[in-house]
Amino acid sequence: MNELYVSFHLLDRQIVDRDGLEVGKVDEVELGIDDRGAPYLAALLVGPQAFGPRISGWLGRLLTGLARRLRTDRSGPLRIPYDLVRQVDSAVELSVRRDLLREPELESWLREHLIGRIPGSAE
Amino acid sequence: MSDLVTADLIGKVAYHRSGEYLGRVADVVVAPDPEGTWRVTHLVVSHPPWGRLLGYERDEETGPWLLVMLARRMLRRNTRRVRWREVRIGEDDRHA
Amino acid sequence: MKKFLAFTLGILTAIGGFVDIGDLVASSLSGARFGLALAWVLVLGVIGICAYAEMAGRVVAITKRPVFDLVRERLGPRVALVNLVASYLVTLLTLAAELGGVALAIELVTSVSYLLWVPVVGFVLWVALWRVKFETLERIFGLLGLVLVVFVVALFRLPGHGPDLWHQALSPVPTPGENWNTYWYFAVSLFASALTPYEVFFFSSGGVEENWGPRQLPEMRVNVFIGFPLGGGLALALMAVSAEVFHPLDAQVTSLGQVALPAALALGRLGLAVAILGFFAATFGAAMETGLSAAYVVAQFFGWPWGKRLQPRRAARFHTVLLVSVLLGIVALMTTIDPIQLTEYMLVFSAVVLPLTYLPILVVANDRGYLGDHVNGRLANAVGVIFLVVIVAAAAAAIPLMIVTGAGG
Repeated sequence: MNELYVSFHLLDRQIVDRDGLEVGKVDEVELGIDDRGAPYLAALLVGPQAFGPRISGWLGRLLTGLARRLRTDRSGPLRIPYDLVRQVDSAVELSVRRDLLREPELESWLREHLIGRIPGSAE
Repeated sequence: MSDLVTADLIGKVAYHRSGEYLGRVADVVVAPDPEGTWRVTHLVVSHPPWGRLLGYERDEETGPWLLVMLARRMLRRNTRRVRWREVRIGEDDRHA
Repeated sequence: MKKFLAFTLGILTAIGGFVDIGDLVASSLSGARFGLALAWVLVLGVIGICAYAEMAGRVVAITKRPVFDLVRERLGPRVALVNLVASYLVTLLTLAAELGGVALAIELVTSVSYLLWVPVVGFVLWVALWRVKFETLERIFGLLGLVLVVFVVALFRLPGHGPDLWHQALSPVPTPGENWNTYWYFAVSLFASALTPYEVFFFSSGGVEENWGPRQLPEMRVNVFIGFPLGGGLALALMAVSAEVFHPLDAQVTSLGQVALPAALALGRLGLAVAILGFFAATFGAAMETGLSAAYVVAQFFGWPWGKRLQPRRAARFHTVLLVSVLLGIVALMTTIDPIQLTEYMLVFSAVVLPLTYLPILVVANDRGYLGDHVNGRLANAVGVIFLVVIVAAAAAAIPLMIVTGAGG
């Protein structure tokens, strides 16, 4: 592909890893600015802190507040440097496996304290 | 942290550097440079604001006939691509 | 054997759309009040869901993206969130109603109050969804639900009023004693029920669970074009036997036991037993469908790993939503609220947001960047656009009709 529309091709698309497993949605795209002031694609941002501000008004603020309380990552959204993106079509495909990325805290917490404790969770 | 996110561009008011009012930014076009970095080349501006484009601004969206006609009519009249260097982003904000 | 059973996903999905607890009562009720004058709505519903399920199935076979991914991607996070909240609520309340329906079917056999069965049924449902493979569940309940064909048999066994029924079916007007507003209210409810979003969510997500690829396109189409008409046919049979038995008496249908009556009249005790087994299978199958759909849409909106094909440990958020949804369903029922009435209200509200689910499907089914040469042909687009217009019309008319008729009273 020789060009991309950031809002159409990237924002709100599903991100999958090299095995096709879901990583998250593109909740926001970070643009870097180089020394000449020209912007470029720096990273994909995943998580409620990235996504909340894109919903305008009270609903967005409610979501971002909820996310903070529900143990989502205090260190900010998951940041995937753009050079890890291998291909963009119906989903954004990464060149790496999901395990190499930071796991969302909510997922770890629920696995440890709830789902993981139910017999049969490893089937 | 982050220098800029798309919410700092999309939805913002845009002016041509000559002063002409262009509308609001609907999308950001990027293309790869020789080293593989994807650089912003153009902005898609829309006036009056069109909102979600659903994908009809691309040639790959081919139907159904009714929706294509409606979408292309509105798009041709309202949206255009402008080179990044020629755009100035305004201070005015769509309601946050 | 596998090829022979290759349409069970379609049937199971169709069960949720045509013969779940809400439909069992609504089809019966329509038959009792209007004879077959509303039969055309069922036919319309079958055509509509076939068209859109085929599109959604095609998208999922080629790209592995289920419907809710398309909703968020094309409509944006704000509008998609509105759809999520509305769809989740409808699906959750339907889940509660189905749990109630299973409990009511058991009550018919045991004479023990349905409320006592609700927690048991909820627990069994959750265990089934936790342990049993997707394919196995789909096969068992897809096939068992077909047992409702007993109503087709009953239709032929009852002292026939064939010509009368045909005449009713061909004159789509309110029967004596009913007015146009109520007629259209029932029409919109039946139509919304045939096209509830959780059907396309479930069907497309099921395609991912079954690992469909481009080579499964024929199998997908078998599922759609056999499964949904079968479901619609069963609903039609129910409407017809109701029209035969209840309409001439001007009787109302208010309980599940009454819905079974025509089978008992035609085929005695055996007919009754088979009908109850069919109710049990259909409502349990619909409970599975709505339970999974509730979790699918939340996970797919946020981008989380989802599905029974993953180890629960690797999809903890998805399974939490599933567990919480079943619990909420049980709690809702234990308030002794009438589950069937509740779903009827919710269906009308869900009719209002139907366009938000179906428009993205139509748009993506035409996107060459997504589907290459598998984009919609002229027929698919013609049917798709016509139905989108009908869906928008139903969405606009739903709430006014509900207000004017006092919810069909």
